Parts: sequence; C-alpha cells; structure tokens
Amino acid sequence: MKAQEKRISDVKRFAGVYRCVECGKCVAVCPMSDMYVNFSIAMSPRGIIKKAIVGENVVGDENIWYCTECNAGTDVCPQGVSCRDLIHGLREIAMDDMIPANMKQCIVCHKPFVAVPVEHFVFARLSAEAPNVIRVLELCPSCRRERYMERNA
Amino acid sequence: MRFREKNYTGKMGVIDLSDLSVQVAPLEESLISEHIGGAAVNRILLDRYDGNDSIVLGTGPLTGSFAPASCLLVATFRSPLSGKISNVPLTIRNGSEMKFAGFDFLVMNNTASQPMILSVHEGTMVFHPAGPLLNLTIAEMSSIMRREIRDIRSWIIAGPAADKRAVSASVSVSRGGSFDKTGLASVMASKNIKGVLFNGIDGLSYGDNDLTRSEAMMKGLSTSLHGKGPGFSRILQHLGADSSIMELLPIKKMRQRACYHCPFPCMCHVEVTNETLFDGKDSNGIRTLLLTDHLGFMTLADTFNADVFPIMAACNEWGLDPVAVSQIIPRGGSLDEVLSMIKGLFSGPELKVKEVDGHTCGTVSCSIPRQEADRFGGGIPPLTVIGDFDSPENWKRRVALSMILGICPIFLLMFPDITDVDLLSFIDPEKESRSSLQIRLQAAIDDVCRA
Amino acid sequence: MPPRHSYILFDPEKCTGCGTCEMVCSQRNTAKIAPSSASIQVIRDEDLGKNFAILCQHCRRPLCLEACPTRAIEKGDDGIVRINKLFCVECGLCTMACPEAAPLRDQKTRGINKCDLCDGDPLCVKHCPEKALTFTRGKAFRWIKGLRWSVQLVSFLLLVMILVGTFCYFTAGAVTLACPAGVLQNVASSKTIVLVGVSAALALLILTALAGRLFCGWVCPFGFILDLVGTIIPKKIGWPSFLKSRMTKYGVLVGAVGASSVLGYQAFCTICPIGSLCRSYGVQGVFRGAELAIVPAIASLEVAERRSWCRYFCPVGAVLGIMANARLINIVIGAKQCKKFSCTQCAEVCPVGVIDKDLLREGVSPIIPMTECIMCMRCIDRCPYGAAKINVRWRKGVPGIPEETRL
Repeated sequence: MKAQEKRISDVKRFAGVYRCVECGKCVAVCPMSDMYVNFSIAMSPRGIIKKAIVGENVVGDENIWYCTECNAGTDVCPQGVSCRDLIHGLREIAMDDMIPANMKQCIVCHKPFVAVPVEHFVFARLSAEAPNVIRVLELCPSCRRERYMERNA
Repeated sequence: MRFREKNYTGKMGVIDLSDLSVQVAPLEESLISEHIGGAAVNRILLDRYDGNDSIVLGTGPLTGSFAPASCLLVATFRSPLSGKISNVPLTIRNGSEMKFAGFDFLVMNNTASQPMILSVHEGTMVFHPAGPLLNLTIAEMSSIMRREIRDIRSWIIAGPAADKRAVSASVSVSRGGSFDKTGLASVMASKNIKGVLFNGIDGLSYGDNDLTRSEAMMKGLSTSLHGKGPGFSRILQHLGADSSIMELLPIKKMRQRACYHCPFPCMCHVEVTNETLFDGKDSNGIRTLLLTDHLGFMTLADTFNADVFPIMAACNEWGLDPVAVSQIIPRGGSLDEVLSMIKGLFSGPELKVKEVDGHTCGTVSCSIPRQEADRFGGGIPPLTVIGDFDSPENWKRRVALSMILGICPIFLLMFPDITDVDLLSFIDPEKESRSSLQIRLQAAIDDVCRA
Repeated sequence: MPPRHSYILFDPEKCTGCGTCEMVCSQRNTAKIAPSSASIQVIRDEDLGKNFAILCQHCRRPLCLEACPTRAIEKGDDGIVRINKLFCVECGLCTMACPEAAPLRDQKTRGINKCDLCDGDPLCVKHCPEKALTFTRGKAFRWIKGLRWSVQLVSFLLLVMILVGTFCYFTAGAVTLACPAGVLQNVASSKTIVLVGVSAALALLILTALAGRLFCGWVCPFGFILDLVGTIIPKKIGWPSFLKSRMTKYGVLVGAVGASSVLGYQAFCTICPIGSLCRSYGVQGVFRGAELAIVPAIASLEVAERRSWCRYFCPVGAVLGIMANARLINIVIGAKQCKKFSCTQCAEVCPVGVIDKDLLREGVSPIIPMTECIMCMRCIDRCPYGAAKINVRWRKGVPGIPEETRL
C-alpha cells in the first residue's frame, strides 16, 4: 500500500497538479463535455486534479475512466499541468493489481485498450451509422490490424 | 561536421553483459570521420575492447537513409571457426531499426550469467530473461516474444541449434536464416545473449535532395535489372544454378520480399505444407518459408533435390547453417531420416563443419577463396559474373564498401553501375569535400580487407 | 455532382515490404525518416508470407468522422477525408472507430497523423518501387454502363418502335420468337401444345439457361423504361416488408397461367406491362389508351424500390429465373479483394438488391442468387477493386483465396 501511495504521489508530481490555479481552461476545451450527458465538475479534469491535490482516493474514483486521454487540456493549461498524464498514470496504477471493469479488453489478446465509457460513446456514435461495422470495437488496434491483414492479404 | 549529425544518431551503447550494465556514450567524431562507419568502425571498437570476446553491432552512415537498400547492420566478432575477424551482414530491417531505436553502434562485452534477450528501444536497452525461450524453434520463440514483448519491429536471434552450442548454428534474422556462416550465433549463445530486438520508433534526418537522388538512382536501376523473374531466382541464375535447381522454385507462387528501402527483392516467401516442422500460426494449413540465404538454398537443393523446402525450413527454424547441413548429412536418405538426423545433430555434442575445399562455397564453385568469403560472414553469394567483379579482389572491395556504408552487399553486387561516388553523395553533396571523403573511404576499405 | 471517391489501391501480390512508402510518408509527416510515424504502415508477416500495407481508405461514409467528439474530421468535395488540426485534440477515438485499422497515431509523439493523400498526389504511390500502390479517383469511364444502355436503347427501338408488338410473338420467315410466359399461358388457355410456339419460346430460354437473366438486364424494353425512371427518381421510399417476397412473381406466373386456363384467353397478357409497352406504340397504341396507362402506373413503383416489378411481380422474370438455375456463369463478389467496410458500392448499385451488404461487411463473399440477378453487371462495372467478376459455374469459390475467414 505504501508503494502505491508513493507511485500516486509520483504521478501527481510528474503531472504537475500542484501548480494548478483552477482557471478551468481545461474544462472549457475538454471534449468530454460533448461526449457525456452526465458530464460534471467531478468528471472534468479540474475536478480530478482538485481531488488529487486534496489527497482523496482518486485511483478508486469512477470518474477517471471517462477521459479519452487527449491533448486538449494539457495544451491549454497556462501552468503546464498535464491532466492527460495524471489520468493516464492513475489508470495505470488502478490496473496494477487487476484489470478493472472499466477497461475494455481485446477479445483476442485480452489486453485492456480503452476505457469502457469511451467505448460506449464510440459505440453509440457508430451504431446509428453502421451497425455491422462496430464489431471491430471488440479488438484492440494491433489485433484489428492483424485480423485485417489475415483477411485481406 | 554535418556528416555526423545527418547520418548518425550520435550514440553508441557499450554493454557489459557480466553485470548487465549499459553505458551510453556519444559517438566519437574522430572515429567516424576517419573510418566512415560500419565494418571499419566495428573493427576499431573490437580492437578497443579486445580480450572481452566482444560482438560489435554497427551501422554505416547510409543505414536507414534514403540511399537504396540501406538496411544493413554489421556484426563484427572473432569467428570461432576460423579464429579471424568476421563481419556478418544482418539484413532485412535491423540496421535501420537500430538507428531508429537511437543507436549507431552496440558493443557487447563479456558473458551474461544467464540467457538474456536485449531489447533496444527509444535510446534505452532492456534485458529480458530468455530462459523460457531456450531450445524453442524460431517460430515458437517469435510467437512468445510477440505476446510478451509488444512492438518488436525487427530482431536477430540465435536458434535452438546455438543453445546446444552447435558451431554451425546460424543466427536468424527475422524468420529466414541469415548470411551468417562463421558462427555469430554460437558466439552469441556462448555470451548468453539469445537475441537482440529492435523497436525503432524515432526518426533520422536526411539531406535536402536525398529523396530525389534516391528516386533517380532507383529509376536508373529499373532499366538495368538483370534477368527476369523473382529476385531470388535471378541471383541463383547468376550463381550458375542448373535447371534442376531452378525448376524446384515455384516461380508463380513466390511472394517477393525486400529489405528496407531496397528496389531489388532478393528474398522470397515460398509456401510449404509440411506441418511437422512448424508450430506457429495456422493459416489454412499453408505455412510459408522465407528464403534469404541464396548459397544455402542452392547447396541444399543440390544435395537433397525436391526435399529442399522442408529441410531449408528446418534449418531456418532451428537456426542451422544450410551449407554445413548439406555437408554433414549424407545424400540419399528419406526426408524423415534427414530431418531426424538434423535434429540429432544439435542434440548431440559439438558439431563442426567439415573442412571444406578452399575454392568452394558449399557446392557452388566460385572464384572467391574461402577465407575471403569468411571475412564477410561466408554467406554473401559470390556474384562475380556481373559487371567487373570478376576478380576476388574486386568482389572483396565491393562487399567491404557496402559493409562500411551500411548498404546491402547483394544489392551493390547486383548493380555494378552504382559507384562509391554516387553513394557518398548521400553523405556529402559537395563535390570538393567529397573527394577527401572518398580517400578516407578507400583507406577504410583497405582496413577491412587487410585483417 | 456527388463527391468523388479518391483512394489508394493496394496490391498485396506486388508488395515486397521494403517500406519505402513508410519512409516517404513519414518524411512528409515529421520531416524525418521515421517509418513508425507514417500514415501508411506495412505489416510483414513471415508466418503467412505476406506483406500488407494498411492505410486510410477515405471511406465514402467515414466512421472516424462519426466518432470524432470535436467534429474535426471532414470529407472534402475531392473525396479526401482530412483532419482539421485546429479542432483535433488527438484523443484517438478515430483510431478506435476505424474499421480498416488505418494507422493514425504517431507512435513516437502519440499525435494523430492522418493520410490526406498528399492533397491529391500521394508520395507513397509515387515512390513505390514495385508499383503495388496506385492512386485512383474512381473509374472515370464505365464501359459496361455505356454498352448496356446502348443495347437497351437499341432493343427498345427494335422491339417497341420498329417491330411493333414483337416481344410477345414475332415471326420472320422461319424464325419464330415468343415470350415464354406468354407461351405458357397460350398452352394453358388453348389446352393444346403448338410446337412452333414452344420452340419460339426456347430461344430466350436457352439464352437464359446459358447466361442467366441477361434478357431482363439488357434487352427487356420495359426494364429499360424502369431503368430510365429509376435514374430520374433518386430517392426510394422502400416497400412494406410483407410485400417484399421474391416468391410473389412465381405466384403471379401460376395465377396468370391458371387464369388463362379458366378464362380461355390470355388474360394476364392484356395487362402485362412489357406487352402493353410493345403494343402501345404507333397508331394502334393510341386506341389502346387503357393499356398505355399500365406502363406509367407500374413504372411509378420505382418510387419504392428500383426494378420493383422485376423483383417481385414479373412472371416473365419468374420463368427466366427458373431457367437461370441451369446457367453456366455466375456473378461472384470476392470479399477478400475489396474494402468491404467502406465501399459496398456493389450492393448499392444493384438494381434488384440481391447483394447482401451486411455479409459483405463481415468479410464474407455474398452468394448472389442467379435466379434473381438480372445480369446487368453494374456491380462489375462499379467495383473499384475488381472483386466483382463473372465466373464459370463449375469453378468453386470466389476470385482470390477460396476460403473465407469471418471476423
């Protein structure tokens, strides 16, 4: 448990969360606000950063699994805080012991490759357009590539 | 000097296998400005760490660049067979991937305490224990490595034959054997280094007109391609393979394969349907065999005729030198007998290549003396019929040129129109300074050819 | 004009895996030689002995465009799918959505580098030493299309305008030709078999038995009218599903023959749209106003589906469909060769809708029921990958590799 706490604090320091000035620019650009109807301050990068600063249990938090790990928040931050690195690091720690239900595993190689809420979003977007195509969402990109080659070459 | 910045990543790694420590040192300016690179620099590095039984992996200035066939990684070591220094060309993508992984030269000193795999990635090196991989075929190893270590873009690996300390083991580049006939695999096995994996995701800068220059060069080549059909069979033709060997090749079914940025696909995939040999992925019962070793194939075909494909596949999978196999196994047995005999070869005690006649490379008679061929790994086809490489001396210099610059030697032998000046223009487009470079290159060639 | 469909075609047979395409692509993407940053990736599989380049197919309906949360991806009028760097936040949902597994992520910087076909002059195509990559903007000239329309026009002129009323029954010297459905009704109504009549019907039946329902797609004058109307009416509203039974036409055939035998005259032929069309031209056509009305009435069914009459009702098609079971040639679509996710143009262009789009998207070659196929060869004409072909019947499987793998 000690080791995990040390790693969490490493991740926080690496992401630079203590520099956060709570300007909210990351929330303004965050694509999650368009993606999820239940987007809230707790889910937003600012909310997660705040939670990390005050030392709550962020690793066990449901909200870290909504992020797409994009560059938007990191790019606009005036203080150089990287919400992407923070959430990525927290997810890695959460995945240490076991793969949580919030990570989708590839049906071929069983490696987790995307967070479930993100996958749900893509699924919802695509299901209207091409219900037959979305089965590829079961495969991680590299397995998808191999399948694709096996079938086509 | 621009030379270093453009053509090298500027880093070399010195590995002490005894404590698995890695020292990343900047590439010395003087070293490459004097000796250009590749086999010549390897030689200097080998001398520097003399007594450590080192293996030096080195790239040339053109490796990974827009120069055609710039795939070469040169492994320089002291051959256990001849006791002399040998430069083995490692093709496909190894040279370029090593550069993209951030290293120009790797020196491996001393011996590891247990079998290890070295993975080179983004300027760092990671050791993986290779215990579970011992005595597995290359196919089994590759499937395990792909599962355990993601993102492998190319590798050199010693097969199960080398684990048994067979002297005629041959290192395997990708899945298709290699031009190593001087014991690189057994040296690697004796140093407990099972394989080196490269995952080059970085980039290399290039000169302004390199791409157009490369394109112009390739365009010129397409008119001077020698012969017809797949590159592999074309090389066999030039080596003087008779029609009985040529008929064995399923020309229509061969899928061609080329090394990094090479316009001449000298390798090929052939379908084989002997299930007993492989334990890899299954694809409708058809497995393919990657043929890279022209001399090995020719010698085997000469000895075993129609059984050549399963035997060649066995050599590839078990990491054996096909030329040695054809010399040790007597002719005339059935396929199963031959395969069990080959398997018996490396389960037994040490295996040595029979003393061979000074003027043959396997069963291919050629004008290249054995010790000269062994200087360059012993597996480079004696393509002396094309252009003015009719003399062993010219052949030797041509191969040395390719090994120094980091260009595939087969490509340079097949296309005699390409001169060293053409190639040096990728390093230095200025004519004036190029001439001094040319002089140093000639000196480096002399160096490589002398020892 | 609809947007063009530009893309790069890849031939796995020619690829040697040299990676020159990766080099030149990365050189444009990152100003460095860095194959792992390229938007085209060559997979080299030594187990299967294959080299395969994966790249963006610039789908006609791009899924990446749908999945993008910031709507940064757009498909231009030139058919090129581009990412607007201003809006892209590099979240990578496009890589998730891409069914073609196109390499979008730069492995070094984790950024998104999408193929934009080098704005119409792709470097990878230019530098491929084996010419395994070819750039296409879609076929400009479709010769089968031109040929079919002209054959249809000529036969329309011949059957309807010049040789009035001849499709149903026509004698010129020793040659007698007749509509097979008409002959069946004739036999039923008169209760006698006239050898001349049967042999007259044979000509068309033999043609169908050899080459499938070539008549329906290429000759039938009413089919020509339907095709014309179908091109004018672009939007289809679709049929209610209870009407969508292809067996209906056999019922119509049985009904027509039965009615003939009961009533003693060829009742159906008086309302047959093909016959009505043939008879309604010229002087006598004016007097048969009622018959002439049948043609636009049935042609208006095109609003629902293309060739609705041919699909579900035409008794002539039913007779020919039965005969087509004996045909010597098949139309095959090899899913191995095509980009099934993004294309399915063959299914869209098929006037009788016999190509199973869903099956195609799963990577399985659909079996085309030749009793329904009217041999118009639109699929062959349209397929940019050469996957739709005419195959002789005894050759099993489809072009390329016979066995198919499901996803």
